Amino acid sequence: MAELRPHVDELRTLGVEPWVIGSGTPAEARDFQQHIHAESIPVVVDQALASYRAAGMKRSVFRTLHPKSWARGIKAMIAHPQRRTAGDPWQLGGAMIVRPDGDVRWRYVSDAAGDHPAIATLLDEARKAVAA
Amino acid sequence: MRASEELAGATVVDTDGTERALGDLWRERPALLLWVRHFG
Repeated sequence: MAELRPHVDELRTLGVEPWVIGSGTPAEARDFQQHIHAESIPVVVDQALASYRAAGMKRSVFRTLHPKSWARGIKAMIAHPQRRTAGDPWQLGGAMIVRPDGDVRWRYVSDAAGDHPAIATLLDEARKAVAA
Repeated sequence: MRASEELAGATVVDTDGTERALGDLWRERPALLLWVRHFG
């Protein structure tokens, strides 16, 4: 989410609104927004994980603790020191671009902790979504 | 691929505690949805 912050205006100029969905509480979401100085990015929470399941996101202890996650985790912790976990620790994330007619233009399902799409990919897919 | 009714109808909560359907997020304009592992 911190990596997205410098690109929010570009997304909005394209006509795409970014939303972050987390599994913690609303208070934890507000705290996280403030911690990474990303109040401009709207955050909603889904403690029941219903949207995660409906979007096909994975939830797995094995995938979260898999060795290939370690290097990503260390890299992420250096870039953005992690505080306590707020939300489901075994839930993995992902991304999706949906148009107003409900057309899902792009979808990414994280395969392990630390696996997320590059910002350049998000921006490219956003451009494609509005050009379609 | 279209967003399923299950996805559009999933309940999410704003940081101010207001409940809304996930589908509301893309009703007016395209939405980039990012599901994060956790807040931390």
